[in-house]
Amino acid sequence: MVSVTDSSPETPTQISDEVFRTLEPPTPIYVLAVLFVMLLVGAAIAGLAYQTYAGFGGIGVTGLMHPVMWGVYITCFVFWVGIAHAGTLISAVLYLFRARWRNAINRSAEAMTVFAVITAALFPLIHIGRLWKFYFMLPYPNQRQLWVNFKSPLEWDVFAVQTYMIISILFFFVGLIPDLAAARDRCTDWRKYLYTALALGWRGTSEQWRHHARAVLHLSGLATPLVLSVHSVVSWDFAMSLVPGWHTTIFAPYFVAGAIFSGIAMVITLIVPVRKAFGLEGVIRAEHFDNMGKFLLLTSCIVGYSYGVEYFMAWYSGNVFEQQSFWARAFGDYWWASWTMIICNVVVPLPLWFKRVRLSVVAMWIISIFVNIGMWFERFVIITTGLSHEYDSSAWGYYTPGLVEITILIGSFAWFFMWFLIALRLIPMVAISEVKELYFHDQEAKAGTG
Amino acid sequence: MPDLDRREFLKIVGLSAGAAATVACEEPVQKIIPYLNQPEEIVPGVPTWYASTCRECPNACAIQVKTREGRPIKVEGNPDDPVTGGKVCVRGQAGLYRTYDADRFRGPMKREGDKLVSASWEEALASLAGRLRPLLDSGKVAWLGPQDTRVSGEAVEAFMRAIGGQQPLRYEALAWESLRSANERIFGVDAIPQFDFGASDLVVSFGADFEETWLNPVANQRGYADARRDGKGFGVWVGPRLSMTGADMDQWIAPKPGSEILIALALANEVARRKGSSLGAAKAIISRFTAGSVAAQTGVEAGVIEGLAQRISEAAAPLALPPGNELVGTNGTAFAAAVQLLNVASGAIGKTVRFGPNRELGKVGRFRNMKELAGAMRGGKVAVLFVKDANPVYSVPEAFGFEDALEQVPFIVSFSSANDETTAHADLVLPNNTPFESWDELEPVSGLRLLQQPTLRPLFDTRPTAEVLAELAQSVGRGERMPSGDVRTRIASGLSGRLDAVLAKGGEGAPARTVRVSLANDLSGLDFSPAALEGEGELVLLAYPSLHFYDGRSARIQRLQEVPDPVTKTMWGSYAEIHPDTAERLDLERGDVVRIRTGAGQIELPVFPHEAIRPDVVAVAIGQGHRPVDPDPDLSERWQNHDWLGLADVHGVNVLSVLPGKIDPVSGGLAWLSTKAAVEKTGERRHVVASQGTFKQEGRGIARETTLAAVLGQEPAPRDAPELIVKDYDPARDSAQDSPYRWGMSIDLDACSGCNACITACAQENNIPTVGEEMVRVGREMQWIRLERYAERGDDGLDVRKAVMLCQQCGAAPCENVCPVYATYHTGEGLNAMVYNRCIGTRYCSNNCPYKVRRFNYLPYDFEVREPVNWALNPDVTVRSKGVMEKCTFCVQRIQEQKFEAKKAGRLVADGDITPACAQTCPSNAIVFGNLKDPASRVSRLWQDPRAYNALKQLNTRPAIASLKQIDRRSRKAGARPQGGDHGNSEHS
Repeated sequence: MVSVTDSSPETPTQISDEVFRTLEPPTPIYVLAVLFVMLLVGAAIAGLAYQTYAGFGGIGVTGLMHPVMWGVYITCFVFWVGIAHAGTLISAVLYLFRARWRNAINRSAEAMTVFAVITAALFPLIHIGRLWKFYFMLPYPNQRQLWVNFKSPLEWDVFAVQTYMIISILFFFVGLIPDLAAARDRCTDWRKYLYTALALGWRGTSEQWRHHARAVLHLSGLATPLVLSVHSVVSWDFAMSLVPGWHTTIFAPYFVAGAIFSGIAMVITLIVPVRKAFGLEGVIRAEHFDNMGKFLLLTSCIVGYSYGVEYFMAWYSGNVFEQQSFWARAFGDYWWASWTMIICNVVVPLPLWFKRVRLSVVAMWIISIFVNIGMWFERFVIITTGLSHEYDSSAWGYYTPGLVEITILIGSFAWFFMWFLIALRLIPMVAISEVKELYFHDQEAKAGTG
Repeated sequence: MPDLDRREFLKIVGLSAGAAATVACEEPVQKIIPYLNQPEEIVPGVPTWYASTCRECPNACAIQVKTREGRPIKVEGNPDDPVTGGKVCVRGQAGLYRTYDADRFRGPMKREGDKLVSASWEEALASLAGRLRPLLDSGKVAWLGPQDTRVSGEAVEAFMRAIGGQQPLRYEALAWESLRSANERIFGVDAIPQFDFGASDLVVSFGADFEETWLNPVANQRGYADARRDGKGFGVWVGPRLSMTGADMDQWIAPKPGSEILIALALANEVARRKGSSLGAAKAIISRFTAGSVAAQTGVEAGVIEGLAQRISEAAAPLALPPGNELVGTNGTAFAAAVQLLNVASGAIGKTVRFGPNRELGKVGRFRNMKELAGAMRGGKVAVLFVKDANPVYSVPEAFGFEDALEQVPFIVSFSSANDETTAHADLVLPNNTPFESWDELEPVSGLRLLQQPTLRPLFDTRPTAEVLAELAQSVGRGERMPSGDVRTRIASGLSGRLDAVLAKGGEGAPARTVRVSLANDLSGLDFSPAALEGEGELVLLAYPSLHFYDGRSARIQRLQEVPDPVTKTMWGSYAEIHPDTAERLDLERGDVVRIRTGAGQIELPVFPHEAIRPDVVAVAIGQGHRPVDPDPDLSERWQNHDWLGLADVHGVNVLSVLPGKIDPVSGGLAWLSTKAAVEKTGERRHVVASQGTFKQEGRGIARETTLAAVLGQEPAPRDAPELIVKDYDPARDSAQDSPYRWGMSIDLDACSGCNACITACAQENNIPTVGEEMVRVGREMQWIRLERYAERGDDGLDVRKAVMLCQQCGAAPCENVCPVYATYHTGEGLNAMVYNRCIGTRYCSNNCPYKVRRFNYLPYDFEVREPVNWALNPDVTVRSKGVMEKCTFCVQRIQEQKFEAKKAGRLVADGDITPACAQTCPSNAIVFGNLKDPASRVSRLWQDPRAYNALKQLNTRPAIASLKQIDRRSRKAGARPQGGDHGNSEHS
């Protein structure tokens, strides 16, 4: 088992050197990786074009059917919105709580948030039957006096996701400014112009630092409720309906916990290879993995508890529809998906109770991948088992995802990784200023006690 | 373009690619073009109705054809028809597609090598005349057609006489020969009499699927439903498989297959003994058969037979139905005679079984004539064979070798309008007009003359056969022997009134009077023993005629392929129905492909286990499994380009191919129930294409029942399960306060037979596409009405129920709240309107619909690709594009039309003005539509019926449809309590 080395960098300059290593000219492996994900994205775009094409295309190229009219696409939407949660949680909430260990990972978490929201926002569009009429969902003034239905949870989604996207991009960008300025100062090639423009004339004056700190604080304050609200709203897509297995009050907290769970898992999945590839062991240290492991464990417990509560409530309600829906979820046609979900989300994270496991990068990475899979299946199970086993037993059905859906599912991961890989080379993936701040805090602390 | 540099070029490429990509998503815009010269009789937007006659089966119901801008778009029953009363069945509703058939012959065809190629009429007729001239008066020209119309039939007869050919053979696969022979023996009359369901309070059906294919199912069902209103009437089904008709009856007696005759005999004997009726000479024979003596052979307890005999004796107007085709074995005539003796014993003859008016169908040729013709062909005695709309290559079991005989005929001429297995052998095709394009006259029952008039000009280069024959006779020099004048003149000359006046009504005359028949009782040669079942194997093969395809002729109509089978809810294929216990014993699951082997051959098809069948029977519907025949070669390219539906009739297997070809020696008719079959698992699996998820209700209270005693007010109604009891609501409050209307519906599940006529009518009215087998396999059928069938094995026997599920137009509709764009919303009249142009296809509404009645256009299912199928589209209803949700609208176009009429007259819409397509065609009159705000309307009164309930009311959706509970068949069997019984002292048995 590879242990996390706990070697702190010596000086602020070393910190900068270590972080800016990511901006050095790309290796062939990196180029190949980018090309590979672009290829997958291209396949997904081809799939979408096929699905949308006027002659023969339509949602019918997927496996969707009556009664399961939502499937992989909505699963992906909820999944990626969930992934997007960790960034804000780590950046904003932990910032407000002064959990300083976040500084090493917040940049990648925020980048992940932005890219995940962008990915998620695509899925409602991919999903709808008439993509070219998507703007009907926006409340714009028009001659026909048509308006949107603010009673519909889908309309709430439109606003929740847009708000979240704007705030998370702002948050990401404001945090980046000092580092962009640092990059500008080190850079000599074409990127200098880019960084100059994006750094907005940052000179590092104390005035600017004061404003920056205020901006980050206020944005944290704005973003914190969003962590709770966005996924609550997404969960209401389900909870507000009357589908057995969807219509429960537990959904909002359950989904938020699940979102954080999957978000943290995705941070770990991403950060482990980045840390390895760019030798960031000094910056992203053992304590960070330990803390993230604890977070995973906590949210895994909440999620596991929610599963239990769902089944208990179905039984306790005496409601025949709920009871049969959950019976079918566990032992019906989709038993394989349900048990995949439970094993990945509840059983696999159990070793995290041991510190040795939390300190092992490999173990954490493997567990995080299982959690990602499990959380994808959680949404799949909720959506498909609920719909396939609704009120009228004569209208039960079984949905199998189609090839186009699978292609677009894979393509969505590729799309996400593509942006992440590009960002790796363009922006400092560790918040230099904040890590330095931490360094000086430590120095002061040492000086004070020693 | 000299200035175009690289950058400009890239700009233009990028822009045009972007523009193309944007435009490519949208459906192309089509413009409506007004008439330049408006035809006098056509007002755009106003339908013209023509009275005509349905020709989908030999029964000929009077219909009205709705045309718009010169195109027929919908068939409805003619309320002036005394037989059907304005109702049409599932096949009749889809009959238009025989005219709007992309695979029809577009003109005469001639054979070149092994292909049929286009020819001109002149060329075709000249070559045929050349062939006929040397054969004049040789008797070597034969005619094979179906039960024909009067004028066309007379022309055929005259032509065959004129050229000195053989007597024309009118062949029907379902010809009720055993019944005709039995009537000849018992009453001395070779005829098919009337069976009056409406006058009967007890119906005992020996496998006669009288609501599906048996004689006139529309009239039968209408009468049967009428006679059963308010819990009256009683039905008994005797047969190994509970068909749709059987499931609409109250008692199921399933004797050992083949031994049903013994039940009929024992009943005749027991009833005669109880009523002291005279059976004449037959008494000696049937007195051997008592309830006790047949119990062992039939496997039916003596008590059951005695109980039924007692019930028949006590009934005021009992009716026993002679064996349905599926139960006709080698003892067919004896069986039918036994049933007719039962009718004699019970006093039904002259009362519920009436000779006169007789059915014209009783005059068609016999199967033995068919065999004779085949023999003549084999013996080289037929030089030219004319075939019209008959397909014996399909419908005569292969064991008779009809096809081999056909190959011996040097020259075959077909008058069929579309290709089939028989016409595929033709050397010359002279396509007839379809019934929607031609004049004629029919006499479905003696005395009643129905007219058939064209509703559109012939679509293609086809000609009426009567006129072609006249021309042929002319060119061979025998023209003077043909009746003169065109078809229309000949019809007009035979009428008592003016043609216009008669046309307006659709026909004239009235069914002939009943004549008395006396017992002739010639029972010689009748073998009153169970049907002989030959062959190896442990299961009995039951080949039953299909509700949708009749004898196979309707299999090419895609609409009928896609309407779910009433019992199994399967579509687009053949299934071997077996009992679940048998399936378990043979280690078979739904979808396992089995090989059914008889002495005559084998077929492979997936199994469909279901409860409503005897464990020792395997049942397969006839009508499927047509052989692919080359469509018009001009069309084959179109097929390859657009075909996702596939040729509609090339699905499933033809079970007739494994019938051993036994005949009933007395009538000479085909013995259907004649073989055992070995059923083996092949190991292959095929997806079962079915509309129903499960046949169990799982305690959900969707299809509910009450008891007979409760309906009669003799005991309190059985209480629903506690979770189903919720507060009542007033549906009238679910429309705008100032609106005088709240549209609502009631559906009487006790009257509903499950015959699918409503589904088809709805599809025709509302432009609902057929989507093809591939789409239906993944569950994307589009029909707005779902007939649910439940069959659950309980402690006290099999419980078969049904429910009709369509949009409930909820007062608090879950679908409306969740649509982000208001594509579905609540109108002032309480409807859940659907704005197709606003819909973006999030499909949330469907998810949130507990009734699951919304349907989504997954692909562009437009009718464009199926020219001329799109001609059947109703211009009053939007054709939905891909990506759009759709659902039942209570036929909002009909509501609007009547509201407009009422407004013009300055009044409110009256009760009964508006009839949605489903209610219009329902032969049982189970569906009633109306205004729930008017307490006097029929629908409001039906809502007050103690049987009324709202499906899933506990979800507080406030549905606008009330279903009336079915009356539990067991309670019906127990019968009403004697009047004046003590209510307080009820005992449950």
